[in-house]
Amino acid sequence: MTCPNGPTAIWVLLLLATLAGFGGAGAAGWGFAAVMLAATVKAHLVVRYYMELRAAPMAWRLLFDGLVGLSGALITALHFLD
Amino acid sequence: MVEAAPDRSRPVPGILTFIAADIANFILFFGYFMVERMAQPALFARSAALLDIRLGLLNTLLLITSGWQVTLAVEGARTGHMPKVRRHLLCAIAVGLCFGVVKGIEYATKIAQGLTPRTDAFFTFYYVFTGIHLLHYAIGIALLVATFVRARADRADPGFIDWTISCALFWHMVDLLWIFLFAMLYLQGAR
Repeated sequence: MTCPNGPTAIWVLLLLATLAGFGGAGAAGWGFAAVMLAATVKAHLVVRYYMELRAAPMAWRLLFDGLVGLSGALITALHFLD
Repeated sequence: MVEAAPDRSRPVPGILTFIAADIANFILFFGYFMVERMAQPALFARSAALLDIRLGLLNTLLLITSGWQVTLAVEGARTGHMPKVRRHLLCAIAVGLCFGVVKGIEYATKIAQGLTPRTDAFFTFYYVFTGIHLLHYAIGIALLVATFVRARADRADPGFIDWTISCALFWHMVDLLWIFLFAMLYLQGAR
């Protein structure tokens, strides 16, 4: 996949993901899981492209992908436990 | 999008260690909130419904847009194009300041409605977490302003690129933390 204009394309993707997540406002269960998935994808895009960690050594990429994934997974899992 | 190959010739900014630790700290906050929410889900959902999600959405869009402008300013710094750095930094600061204005309006509205940190557990978390985030935001704005001041020179001084990248990383962390706070506090309904 090619990217015509990196930062601007990521900005548009982030806007679209934000609006998609907003569509699930007030949702519970799997609806909220979808909201959290959109949030996690957004955070991943911020880390990879805004923070440019896609060009960082593997250990840094794994650390930040892990932190982002853990944030999304923790909130989603505990939501299902309530 | 083409994944860039790892660039081991470029040193990783030291601020990444601080940012990783700060995100880990917020993960503890997220866990604490969600565990407390498990004890009284109905109250948390009722109180969350009192938040204005349109303001939360607006603030998300503002931070994402400001972050985009910062990435363009970093591009300018790397190529030594100082007018581009100044232009995009000014835009990032202007859009970023709108976040603070919206947050101020939101706090004032909630307090006028009698919704304070003492209202219930949800609002205690809401004010503490968004307050801590606001502190990060204020530091981020100050760093962007400092970068703009440094960028007034016609040529980048030694260390300017690294400074700009570090400040940009901090600002993106403010954006990243808000993404999760917005979803968890504003968009979560009751099961």
